[in-house]
Amino acid sequence: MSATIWKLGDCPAGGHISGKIDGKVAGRMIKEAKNPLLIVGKLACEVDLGGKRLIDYAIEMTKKGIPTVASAGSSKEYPEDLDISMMGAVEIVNKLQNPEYGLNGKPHDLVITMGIQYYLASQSLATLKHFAPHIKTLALCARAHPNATWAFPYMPDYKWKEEMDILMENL
Amino acid sequence: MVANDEEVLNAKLKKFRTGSFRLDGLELSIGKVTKPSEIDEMIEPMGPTPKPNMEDLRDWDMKLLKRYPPMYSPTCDICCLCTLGKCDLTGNKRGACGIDMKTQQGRWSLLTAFTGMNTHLSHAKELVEELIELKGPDVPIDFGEMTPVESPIIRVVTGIAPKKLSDLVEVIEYVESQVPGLVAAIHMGQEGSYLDYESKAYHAGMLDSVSMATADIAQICALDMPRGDPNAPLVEIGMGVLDQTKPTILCIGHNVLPSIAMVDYMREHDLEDAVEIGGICCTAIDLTRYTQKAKIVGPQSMQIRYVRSGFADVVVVDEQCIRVDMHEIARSVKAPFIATNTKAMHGLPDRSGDDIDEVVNDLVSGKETGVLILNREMAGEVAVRVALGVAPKRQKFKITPSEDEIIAYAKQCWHCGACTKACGNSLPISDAMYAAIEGDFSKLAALDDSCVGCGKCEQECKRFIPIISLISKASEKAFREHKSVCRVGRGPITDVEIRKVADTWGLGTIPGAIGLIGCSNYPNEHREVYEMAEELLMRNFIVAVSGCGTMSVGWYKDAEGKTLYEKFPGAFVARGLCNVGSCVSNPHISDAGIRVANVFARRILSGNFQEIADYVHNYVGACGLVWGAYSQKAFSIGMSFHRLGVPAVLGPHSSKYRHQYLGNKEDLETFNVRDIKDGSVHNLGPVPEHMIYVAESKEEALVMCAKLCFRNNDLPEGRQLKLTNYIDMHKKYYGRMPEDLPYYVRSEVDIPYAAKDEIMEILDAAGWESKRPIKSPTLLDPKDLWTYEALKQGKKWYTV
Repeated sequence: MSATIWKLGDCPAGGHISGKIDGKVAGRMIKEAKNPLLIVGKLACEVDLGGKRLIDYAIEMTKKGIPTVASAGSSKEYPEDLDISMMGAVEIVNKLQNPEYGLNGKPHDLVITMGIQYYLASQSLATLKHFAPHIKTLALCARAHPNATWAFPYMPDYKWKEEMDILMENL
Repeated sequence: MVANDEEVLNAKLKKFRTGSFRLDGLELSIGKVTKPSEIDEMIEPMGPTPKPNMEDLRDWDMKLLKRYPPMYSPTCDICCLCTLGKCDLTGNKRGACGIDMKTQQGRWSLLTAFTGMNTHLSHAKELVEELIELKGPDVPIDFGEMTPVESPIIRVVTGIAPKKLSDLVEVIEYVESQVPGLVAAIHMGQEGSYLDYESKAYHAGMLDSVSMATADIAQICALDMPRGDPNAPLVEIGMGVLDQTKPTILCIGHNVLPSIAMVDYMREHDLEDAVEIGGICCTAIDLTRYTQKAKIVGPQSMQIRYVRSGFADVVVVDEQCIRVDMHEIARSVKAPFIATNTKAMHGLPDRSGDDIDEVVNDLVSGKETGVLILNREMAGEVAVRVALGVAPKRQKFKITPSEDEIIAYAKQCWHCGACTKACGNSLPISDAMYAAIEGDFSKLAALDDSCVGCGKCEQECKRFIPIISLISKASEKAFREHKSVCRVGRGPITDVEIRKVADTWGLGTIPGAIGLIGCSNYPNEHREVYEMAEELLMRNFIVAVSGCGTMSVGWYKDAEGKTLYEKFPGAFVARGLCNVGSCVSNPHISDAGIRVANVFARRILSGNFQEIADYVHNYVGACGLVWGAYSQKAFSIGMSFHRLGVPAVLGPHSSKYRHQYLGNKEDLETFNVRDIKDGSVHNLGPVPEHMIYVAESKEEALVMCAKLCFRNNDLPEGRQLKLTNYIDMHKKYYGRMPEDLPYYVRSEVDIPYAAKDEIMEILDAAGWESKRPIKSPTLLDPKDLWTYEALKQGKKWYTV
């Protein structure tokens, strides 16, 4: 099923709108990925989903061993002993166009984005959609991302939290 | 009879004494001598590429593009530029003409840069032609003894050293000669390489800087604007600066000539104290360079809010960045509207040839709500007389709602979220409406600083709620009382200033010069620009500003009520906040780098673009910070900086420009340089790492700016200082030491003493090895350095 476009003016060519996904499938998908990569933006530190911030979910995901890029200062929220890479969202996306590149030395098959401003995430996902065919993308943002391979549909914050909780249970 | 190029030389010597020799009352008449021609005055030998065509600097472009390959982020998956399409290019597929997605994005780069360039070219042409008509062709292009090189970029690109206003015609003719080839390349079935498209976009950008420089030096010299004056006066800025007890004229746009005509009319008729004149966008900046009685209302994003608030009795638009629905907005508050430029005629009746009294009466009476007047002087007179006539009738009529009306509107809101979906910054308008229902307008008011004033929210609202007007009303008190100050655009950075700062800047002991420029499409609060400028100044950077960035920097005050312009000097020095002026003043910032090449390194300027760009790229620690760029002009201005080798950090909205130039430090070979002395190849690290970089947050932007000021030529103490800033900002904003230090420490003497142990630990863990520094790095083959070639040929010349 296709996700409804959230941001007005987003008009991908026919047939390329991302697939709608829920927390359960997203969690399994990440778990089954051979070498996923998580990109966490600064906004993750500012989004409060009712007692739990988006960055807290990101940190939990990193703790489960997912290689992580913390962009734009989101690293500041990470415990110092947690291994992350600090670079800009645009830098990691640029590197990912190379099918041989991997943050941990191995190519990635799934890239997960969260907490990046909508339009910057959208543009970054467009780069990967067009120029990194070896990678599938998963946008864990509550504002549907048509340029991702799979994305959460547009949903209110409480629902977003529910889906993130389910995702974590299935990871 | 003495010809034009001759003069009679007579000399009198009253007394002359030397040793035992004494001479009194010598009178000598030599007679006619031939004056040196302008060509003879042009002592500097001409470089290899005067007036280059688009293929002439291609090799240089490809060098840059190899280091910084474009990363594309398409905003649209299709091409719909011809009837073979629409073509779906998703996944880098090819369309019906054979173009793939990457090449299509390169095409967009050229299209965008070309549009921006032509906008400035047209602006420059109008200014030069009209100023020649107004002031005569012989107005000297003269910036005084402090600035003997009148326009470095014009010399570097064209080889022309303009001495008088009419000399600029040749510069414009050169730029115009490049237009057909560039636009033809955009046609279907032409260019097939994205890199060649980028090279052409570079060319357009470079031509843009020539056009802007032409426009600005013409207006500075003909209208006697400040000529490199670091102590240019302060001028009022803010939404509350226009005295609302008087008739007010609001000028919007970039071409200052109609506004100048208004000021001149007011001066001639002793009306300067009777009518208030202010502006939005660059027209305002340039008008205050002409008279400090004019005021700056604000950046482009303030147009709807200001006009709807009823403050302007007459709205006059010229060109560029004006809302194209401004006539309708002005009409809604009963403010007559005057368009003054052929590029923006808005469907209005052309009244240029009509009787002035008749036109004034028609506008004052409301018979006409808007007119087109293409005669500058007439537009000036009509605007002033209409303001005087209509102000008593309008009584500052506004369409901002009352507080009760805000509540009523808020109650109508369905909270469907369409406004937030449409908003570029996804502002939480619905939440503000909930609060407004309860009479709490604070959430609406809080949106004011993050609203870019585009009005898309209102277009989407199914309940037709005038959201921007609600925000304006909620923040009305602050809005009405907002007054601050900004330094008047000073024009060029002088050669003398460069001479004073070149050693410390060029060798790296000033952490860098930041060009804080551009438009007002900010990702968050407007205040962020002020905060970034303040932090950079406090860290000893040189900060040069222009355009709407100038206004944002001056918009706020500290706890003591002082603006940054009052706290920091206007000179081009460490901790200097140097406002060069409007959009067309931008080349003064890049010219500072060229002046270093000339003053400090004695490089030949004329027709020598490649060598100068190579110098700037390797030696001059500078970086653009363009936080709210949105226009095609901003894009082409960026391209003008990049071809000159200057990197820039852009705000996140600029990702929608579709391209960035990103280096890849893991691919270190792309950062190889050669030693000018012997041509040997070296690697001194990925410096500067990127050419166009889109940052997600202001924190990321600051850290990246510090890093992009590293240069291969930094002395150890310079690199130490730059690393200190980089590490300090990184720890402050990222919470940890940077991971990439091993790339930037060339040898142990580069390491900041205060953190030496910590850094050595990182270097040891990474297996770091020191690099042999070289003093004269270049990206070029040393035989292509024209200055050295000219020296070898025995040529001699003077530098400033």
